[in-house]
Amino acid sequence: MSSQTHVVLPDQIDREDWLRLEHWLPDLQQMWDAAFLRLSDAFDPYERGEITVSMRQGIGMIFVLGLAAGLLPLVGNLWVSLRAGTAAPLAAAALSLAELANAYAGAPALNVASNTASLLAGIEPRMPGFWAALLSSLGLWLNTPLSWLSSWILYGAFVVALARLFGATNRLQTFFAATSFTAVPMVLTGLAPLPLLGPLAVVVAWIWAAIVYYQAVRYVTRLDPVRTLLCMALPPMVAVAAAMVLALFVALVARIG
Amino acid sequence: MLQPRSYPAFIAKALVLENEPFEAMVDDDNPWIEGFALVAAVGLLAGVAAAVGSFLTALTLPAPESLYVTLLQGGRQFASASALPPAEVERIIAEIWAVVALVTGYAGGWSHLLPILSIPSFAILWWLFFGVLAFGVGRALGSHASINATFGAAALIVAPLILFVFNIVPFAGPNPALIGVWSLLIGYRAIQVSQELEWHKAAAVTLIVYVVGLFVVAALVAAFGIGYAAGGAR
Repeated sequence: MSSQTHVVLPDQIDREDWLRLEHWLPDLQQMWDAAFLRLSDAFDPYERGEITVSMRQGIGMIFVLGLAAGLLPLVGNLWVSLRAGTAAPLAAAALSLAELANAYAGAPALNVASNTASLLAGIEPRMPGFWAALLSSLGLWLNTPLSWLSSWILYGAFVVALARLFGATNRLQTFFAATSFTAVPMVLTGLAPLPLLGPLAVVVAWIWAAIVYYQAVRYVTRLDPVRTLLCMALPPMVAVAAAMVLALFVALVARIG
Repeated sequence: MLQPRSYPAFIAKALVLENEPFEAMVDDDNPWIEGFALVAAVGLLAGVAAAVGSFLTALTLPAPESLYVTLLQGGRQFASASALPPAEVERIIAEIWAVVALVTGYAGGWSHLLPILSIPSFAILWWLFFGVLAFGVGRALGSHASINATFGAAALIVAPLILFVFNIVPFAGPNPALIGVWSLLIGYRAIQVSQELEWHKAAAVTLIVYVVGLFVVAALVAAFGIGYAAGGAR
């Protein structure tokens, strides 16, 4: 596409333009449309008859929404680790194990683990406790979008491979661009730390995300519903089967050993 | 001629599987050297980020000696609570500690700098392995591309290593599976562009390279395990 045109497709940008923020994020209206399954408006806001949202915008959106979902857990981690004056993973592990040990008071191994974790969290870190708590909480916060990116790429790679085998002809970039909008409902998982509302929000987020993913895969691949569902269901089914076979193999080796 | 100022754009575009950086690497006047420079630069950046991150992470934790003593105490209590031999539990903790402290850099000293050597070395080895095997298998499936062009395009498989920049922040970092699978997708695109193969042949070449790579890694891990079990590292 000529760089002289006034409308520039996000995945057809000039080399010097790749750093511009608007090429790393779709606009809010597109995210809103995707959440309510108006996928043609989300993927093709200029009504050009093709998917104009780019994989680059998908990466940016997943990252920003992942950070947004991680805000509440960040506040929780900061609260726990700043009070303990230690790194967030140590403080969080001590707290979780203490809760578990209280819940299952008759389990001596759990009590030992809880005591050890409390002792570890009580030892002064080598840098000032405030900085240890702050930096480690920020690290855990960054892991939210990174784990979302992992799920998107890993699961997507298997789904797109199966879709190709079932006859889809779409490009890799458009597939990943479209499925990135699954991150929009997943923002609700950020409410997980809230009592009562949190678990409900997580369940709603996963169901909503599965529906958006299904619709996005269908939109991009043009596969029929059965093949689309097979593309989505086979990777986790194979993973579970492989894990069971591995567990059986390990158990067998341990028994023989 | 080397064009390191284009590397950030190449990496950003390779991550989103655009053809342009692969075509630029294939059309380079010396794809092999350009590829080597790109792999070394990205590997070194990732290694430095991981080293700085490992140093900062170690600082956010208690001194290794205190942590180790507390873990041993916990291990002894766990042994008495679960009727296991305390010496055996202590031995297991000591062995795990030795490996984890060295690999993560928590042991201190030079171990913090390990990623500066290990990550670029691994990146270069993986690129050479991928390039040679992709060239050979591609030829067998009907490609007419040169090994030089294959090496140039295949250099971009290291692009996901750029995510190691997040490792600078303690406890942050990408999942290794993300790096591996994203690299596989980029490798597929590199083979498709450099060898001008149809999608199913390019996918077959990529998968064959990865399967052979997995076997090689498994063999190395098994050899290390056997050597370690035989007392080679003590």
